[in-house]
Amino acid sequence: MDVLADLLGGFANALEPQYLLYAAIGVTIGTLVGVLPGIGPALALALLLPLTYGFDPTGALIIFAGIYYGSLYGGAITSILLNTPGEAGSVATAIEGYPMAKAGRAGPALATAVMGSFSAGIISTLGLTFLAPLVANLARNFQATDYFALMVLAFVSVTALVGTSVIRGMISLFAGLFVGLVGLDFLTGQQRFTFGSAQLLGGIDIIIVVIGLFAIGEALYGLARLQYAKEQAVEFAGRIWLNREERSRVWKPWIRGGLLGFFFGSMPTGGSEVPTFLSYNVEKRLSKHKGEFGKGAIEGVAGPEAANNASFSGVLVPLLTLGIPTSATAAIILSAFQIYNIQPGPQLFEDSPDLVWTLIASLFIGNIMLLAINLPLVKLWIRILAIPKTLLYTGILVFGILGVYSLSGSITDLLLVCAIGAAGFFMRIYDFPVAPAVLGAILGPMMETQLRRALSISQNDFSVFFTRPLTVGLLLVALAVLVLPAVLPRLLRRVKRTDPVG
Amino acid sequence: MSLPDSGPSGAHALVRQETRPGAGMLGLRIAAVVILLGAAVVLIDAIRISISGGFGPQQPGFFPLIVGIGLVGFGVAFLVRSTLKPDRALVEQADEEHRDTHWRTLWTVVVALLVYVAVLDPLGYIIATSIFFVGIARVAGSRRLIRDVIIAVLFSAAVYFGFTELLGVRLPDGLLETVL
Repeated sequence: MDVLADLLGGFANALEPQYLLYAAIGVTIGTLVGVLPGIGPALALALLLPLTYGFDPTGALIIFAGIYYGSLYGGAITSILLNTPGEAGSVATAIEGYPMAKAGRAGPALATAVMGSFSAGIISTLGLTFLAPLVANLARNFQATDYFALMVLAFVSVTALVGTSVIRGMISLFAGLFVGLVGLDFLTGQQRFTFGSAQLLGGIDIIIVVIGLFAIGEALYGLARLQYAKEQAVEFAGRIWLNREERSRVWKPWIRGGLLGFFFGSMPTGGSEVPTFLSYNVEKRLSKHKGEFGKGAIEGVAGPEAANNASFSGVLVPLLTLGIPTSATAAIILSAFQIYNIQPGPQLFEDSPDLVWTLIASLFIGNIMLLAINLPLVKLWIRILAIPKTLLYTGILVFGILGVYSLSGSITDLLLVCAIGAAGFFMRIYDFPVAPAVLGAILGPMMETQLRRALSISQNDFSVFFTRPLTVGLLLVALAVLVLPAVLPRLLRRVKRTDPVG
Repeated sequence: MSLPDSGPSGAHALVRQETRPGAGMLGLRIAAVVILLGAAVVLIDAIRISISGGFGPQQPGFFPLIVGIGLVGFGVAFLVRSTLKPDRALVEQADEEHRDTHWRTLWTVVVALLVYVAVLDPLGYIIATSIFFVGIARVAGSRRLIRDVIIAVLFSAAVYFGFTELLGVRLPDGLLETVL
């Protein structure tokens, strides 16, 4: 059992007192930031990235894991109490969580979310522990065409499965690809889309994109609506712990959500949005209390929140083993890796096993910290919601600018983040999905590299994309994902029509 | 249009603007045109890159060309969906968003952000951030000036010292250079 020995080694590293302290600090700060309305895990990590500059790689990653889990929990608090999910992953939580809170059951809703996150986090981190080494092994034989096909699949699934319109999703995706192309071409050194600006030669950092779209865009949206805002906060009172009936209703959704989250998280489908909504629908279908759905069914909080947490460990599978970040959160973590000159990919498990296993161990520790520290403190966290909205959104703007300034100190970057923020505002009101843009900006450059590498090996022969079985398989899946949602309902209708009974 | 005094005194004071019917549709059309203009710029620059770097699939212009063509193509599709064949659900949603958006606040904040970015270096982090903070809070509807000023100064000073002393990130001193 190599894996277990490695994992134990990771625990031995991560359990040092100073690292435990870091984990506790990370979880606390993460919750503090995540509980601010409109801030989800990706943004919390982007804003708090400067905090890790002073630490060694292991310490920084442990703090990061803590911040991630903390902000996820903070996001659940705001989804449930304020109905303002900070990120796509917690939208499904708010559907049942907010009605539960309105009915005076905020405590059980939060407890379900936290304990569900915990169970799912353990399930999916175990999944990561055993799956990642296998995938890393397989990935050693991956070729440029396979990587290219994987990224096509990622793009297609994030645009077709997420959001309401393929046209708007594609515009968002291509805009992201454009942002990713800005700068010097890595092969020839030619300037692309720099429009004569020397500051743009190095490209646009993904952190700028994330802070612009999520922090500045979100704060603009909040401020512009504040004038008409209806106060939505729900009083928090009553018990926190689950009673016997609730306990018996939530443990199955936790496990199902955890499995769904891990499975879809580890696929290249862009993180938590797909599994959380899938989990919501599954629980709705399987529940014995269908009538409660929409009015505060506890299963509808338990499943999606578990899936939300579990998808993170899932996303780490392609990130650590292939070096492909499939969600905004993963992209920020990749940036953090790069600060320390760590390149994720099949080699990572061979080159720096200590780091990988310490990271995985710290995920377990972060989960436990979350349960131990945060659940008892829930009444304290809720105080943060009393901060006036005017100061809150102003603070988010200031933190966003600060986060970008501490990256480079360049005025060009600051102007860029404002422009991206304004774009984010309009994307929000005209219902353009944000995830494809983020993914395009992250994966676009990698995709181009793999495409050009594949073509240079084959000497401009495009047939390489249609002769390797793995590549063809991935491309076919991508085609299916793109076409099926449009065709399937029509086919089903036709089947129904020919069926005399139905 | 905006009411003469659109700074509300409190959270709920403002009377909702009379919305012109079709504001959402107009907004969508403007968005479509802006997207197409941007797409055209991208495509033209991509062609320029290809002319100087070559059109081959391994050359630096190949991927930008695909992106430019994609943007123009889907931009046109979006224009069609907001003019000839309007997407009803989207138009309704855009109408609602337009109704809930206080445009003057939005543009004021955007301009304030740009000014803040421009004066960050000359004024220094603490002064620029304090002024920005108080100003935005006021634009957003806060009417407790003294509280806001105290919070703004404490907040920006805390950030400044935390970042420069603890994290080693340099923030501009500006006017306070001699003091700090």
